[in-house]
Amino acid sequence: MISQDLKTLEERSIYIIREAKLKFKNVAALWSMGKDSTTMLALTRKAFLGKIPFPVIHIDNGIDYPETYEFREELAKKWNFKVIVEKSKIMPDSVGSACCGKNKPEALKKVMKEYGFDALIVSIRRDEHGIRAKERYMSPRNQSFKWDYKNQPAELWDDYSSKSDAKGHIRVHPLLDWNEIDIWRYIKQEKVPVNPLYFSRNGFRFRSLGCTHCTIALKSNAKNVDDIIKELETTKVEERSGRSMDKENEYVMQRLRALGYM
Amino acid sequence: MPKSDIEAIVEALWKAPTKENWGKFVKALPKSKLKYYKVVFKKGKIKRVGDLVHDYAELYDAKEKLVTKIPIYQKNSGKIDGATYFMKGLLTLNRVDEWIKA
Repeated sequence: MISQDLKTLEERSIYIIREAKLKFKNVAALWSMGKDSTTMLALTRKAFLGKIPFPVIHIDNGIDYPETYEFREELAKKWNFKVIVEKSKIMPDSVGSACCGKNKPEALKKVMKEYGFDALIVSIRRDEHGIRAKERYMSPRNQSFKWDYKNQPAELWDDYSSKSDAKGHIRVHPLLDWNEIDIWRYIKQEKVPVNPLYFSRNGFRFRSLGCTHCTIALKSNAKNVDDIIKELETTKVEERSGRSMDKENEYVMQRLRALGYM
Repeated sequence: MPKSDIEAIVEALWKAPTKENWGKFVKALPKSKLKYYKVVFKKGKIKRVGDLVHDYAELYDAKEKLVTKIPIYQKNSGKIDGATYFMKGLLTLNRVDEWIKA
């Protein structure tokens, strides 16, 4: 039976996803093959009777984990949705987080322009990182993808902003209210397929997934979804402690997001 | 002792990590005894795509015995790109201890 908390979260997320599809002409979703964006795809299937009615974008820098590529192909085939793979370059940038600061947003800009998307569903959660807690459910970005986090529209009585600059777009965040353990409880309840990197192998597992050069496995013996839920009920380790960019300094994520990072 | 298919392909990959040679690697992988990989970061976080030439992946068998090492980039018409996509079917052994913080 579905838990009441998860039911409330699920209902709100499905409402936001449906609102996005209704309000915008050309919607796309970002998919990193991680647990959050895969859960978002599962919610989308529920919202649209088993279909994913918009394309899914993977920004690929060419050095993701092989398991991640394998999972992408398996799930796209199983759930029958369109994946747009946009290659991102790896080159120096001015922010310091070599790949994510500039190069992934550049690739995203290119694909958004090419396909003319006016809304982008992104599976961030408020509990992941302080700066992500400042986001709205529907958050405007200007033409150059910049996020004015000091001047955001109010979202009262489930009435979300659907206006951005003439050439900007709206980031839609249906999972903002979820936390990490909610995601795993939902994965268990709905039997959502997940990337095998999340499960422990020889005492290590990934809690947050990025590419081979910025993510690393943390100590854990959680070999299945039940073990992960048990582990999260007691852990004091941060979810993104295996991600290098979060360690540079406390404002790096704020700078990255203001510049267009996902 | 004659070289196995995978040994010959890995040797070719080091000489020329082209899409064609990576394609041969993908075909030979299921028949090989390889099961795990570990990306070795020689210079920590990459600043530019050319840095990938310093890094490589160690390939292990089911008993986690080191079998060989392969590049993690492809070079086509002088252009370098990542190549972990071609290692599908292998499982990672990367651990926090081996991570070099840049």
